Amino acid sequence: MSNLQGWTPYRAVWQQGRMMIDWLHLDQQRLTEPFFENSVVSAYSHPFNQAFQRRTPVEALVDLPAGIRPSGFIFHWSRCGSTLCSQALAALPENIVISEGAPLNGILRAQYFGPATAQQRRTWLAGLVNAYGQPRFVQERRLFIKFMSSHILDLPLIAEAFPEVPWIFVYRDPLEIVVSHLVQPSSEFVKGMIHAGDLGLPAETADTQNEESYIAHCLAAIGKAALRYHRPGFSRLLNFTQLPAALTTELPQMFGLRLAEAELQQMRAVSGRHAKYPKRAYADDRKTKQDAASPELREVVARLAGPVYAALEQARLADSAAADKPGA
Amino acid sequence: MPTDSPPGAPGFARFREHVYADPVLLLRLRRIDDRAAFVEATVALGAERGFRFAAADVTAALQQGQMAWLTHWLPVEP
Repeated sequence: MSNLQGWTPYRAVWQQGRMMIDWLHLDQQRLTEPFFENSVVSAYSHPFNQAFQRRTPVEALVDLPAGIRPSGFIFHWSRCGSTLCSQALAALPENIVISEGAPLNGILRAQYFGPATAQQRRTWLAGLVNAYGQPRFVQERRLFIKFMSSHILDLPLIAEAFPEVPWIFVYRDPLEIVVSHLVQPSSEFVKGMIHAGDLGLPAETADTQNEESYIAHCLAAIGKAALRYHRPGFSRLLNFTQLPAALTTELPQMFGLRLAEAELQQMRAVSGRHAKYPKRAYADDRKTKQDAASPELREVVARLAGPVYAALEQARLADSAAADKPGA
Repeated sequence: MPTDSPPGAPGFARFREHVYADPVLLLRLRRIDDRAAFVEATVALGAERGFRFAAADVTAALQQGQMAWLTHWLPVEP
């Protein structure tokens, strides 16, 4: 295999029954955009990446030298401040941040489109994350992965590959999340994108849900997974209401970062801008979203996702109380 | 997209492998943003190193790259 130094995986794809990885060259481009895909689009516009892009078998991942091990994973309920967390981490040049990289999804969901065993997916995931951990700049020494919201359903497999990596789960009032998805739909919550079995729904039931109910079911399944896998002390539940203060308190603490005041200021500065549209100033939209919800929507979300939100809050507050106890 | 055997004349296919193995040459091409200048430089740098291919081969590779983009979100190659 030719030298892959400087190349970054941007796609995992089945080709004639074999998992392949497509690579492009980022040159001096740091991954500071809100999403990995934004960076890929930018890099792909260069003629070189169109004419000289590479495809290798997935096995090429294991030939790479050992890269930076992840310092933390970000899981989330979607539309809840997780991009703000990843952007705050990306503000520091020491950090490589992969925000919802498409190849992660390609590998975690590989079994639905080709002959992949759990063992293979675990090996491929480890190789892919190691590829993202190849430093391209001398100052890089930490790696963070922000997964797609439904990827917490795959946490057992992720944890087998990275048992030592702490994680956070970011969430917020599910009514505000559902309103956000209704205004600006997410491809992740298009019916069928998450396997019905993973949602705890028979396929035929999933198909008959209206959009509001389906999204609320997705949130319930994702939130239940967060609660199921949460290990206080090792993982942390983070409510949107704790942001942006938590960017420079809970977040660094959780991921073992010892940061100078100047670095904390760099992270804090991110919160003044809209995380997904950094050219816009941030505006608290909680009231707008709450006001936009109809009584029917409130009922659906409260019934399907409300109990999970309450359980997340209960667990978070219990963790906080336990941490505050003398001797904790 | 074929595996490590890109489209175009054999001369260009071999040049691609050559570029992958030469980080200095790779960066020189990677840093050309203008499409016409990129095609011209690729042909010239290939010729300097004994590779024979035409501008049309580079243009075809660019077009194939653009086509690949249109389907890059699919989990299975069509």
